[in-house]
Amino acid sequence: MIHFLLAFGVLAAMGLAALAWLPATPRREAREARDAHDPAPTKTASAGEAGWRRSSAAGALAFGLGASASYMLLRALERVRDGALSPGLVLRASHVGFVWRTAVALWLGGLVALVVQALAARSPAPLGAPSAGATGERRWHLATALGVLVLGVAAWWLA
Amino acid sequence: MSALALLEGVHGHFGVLAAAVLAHPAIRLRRGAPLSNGARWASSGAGLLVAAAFATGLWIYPRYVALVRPRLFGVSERAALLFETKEHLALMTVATALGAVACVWLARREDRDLRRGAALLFALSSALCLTVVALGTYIASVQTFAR
Repeated sequence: MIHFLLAFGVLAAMGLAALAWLPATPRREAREARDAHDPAPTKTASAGEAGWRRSSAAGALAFGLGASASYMLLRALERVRDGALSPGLVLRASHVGFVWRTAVALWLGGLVALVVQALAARSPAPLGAPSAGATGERRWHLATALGVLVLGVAAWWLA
Repeated sequence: MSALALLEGVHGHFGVLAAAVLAHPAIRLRRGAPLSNGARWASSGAGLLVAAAFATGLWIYPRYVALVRPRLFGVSERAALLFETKEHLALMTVATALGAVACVWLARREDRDLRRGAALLFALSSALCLTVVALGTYIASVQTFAR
């Protein structure tokens, strides 16, 4: 049974990957050529809609990082409140803590996303142009990677 | 084989597959080029697989905590504490993957910087997922529903 499920999963994963690597149809080729060479902003979207999409996409990225950071913050607060982890305490605990932490962290991540979306919507960056230069973008990526690394190490320490 | 042991196996396999599939959008998006609809659905499938792994984990969690974890503490305290770490990293994996998937659908053709950000989140999610899978494999080698 488990081998059947594994084979099904592998086939599903291969199918998903194949979706992106299928030989291009003429229509897709035309679309990709347009995507690659046409620097004009999206023609079908109004300026308001385009701005909303950009700020919402930034909010979505903030959700991923915000929810992770919120979870670790909640766990750190628990550790500060309850002290070091002991096996006896872990075994006696009601174990709904993880579910609650998850729910609260996702909710806080949503709040962070809303705040970032609102801030990005007010950003004076012209639509159709990246908001940060290459250096700024690299710094942002480096900061994100370092932030998640710190969260990962914290996860280890917080057991 | 009990249903719980089966679900535990399914949960583990979903996790392994998710770790592999999450690497795909990270590679595709690394230059920030616009994605075709097929590639966007593929990255959504990766997010769905992570969510499925997390959901099956949550499903068996109460029984695992009641039946397996006390025995796990008896056999290896270190493995039992690593299970706690695995929980934390799993939530981070899901949150980063879902944020990246949403960004892929929302970003416009011109938003190359945001797509590069999504690629970074996918890569981090994939790495976190691999860590979770490694921890899960180690913990399962110590104690499972089936043992």
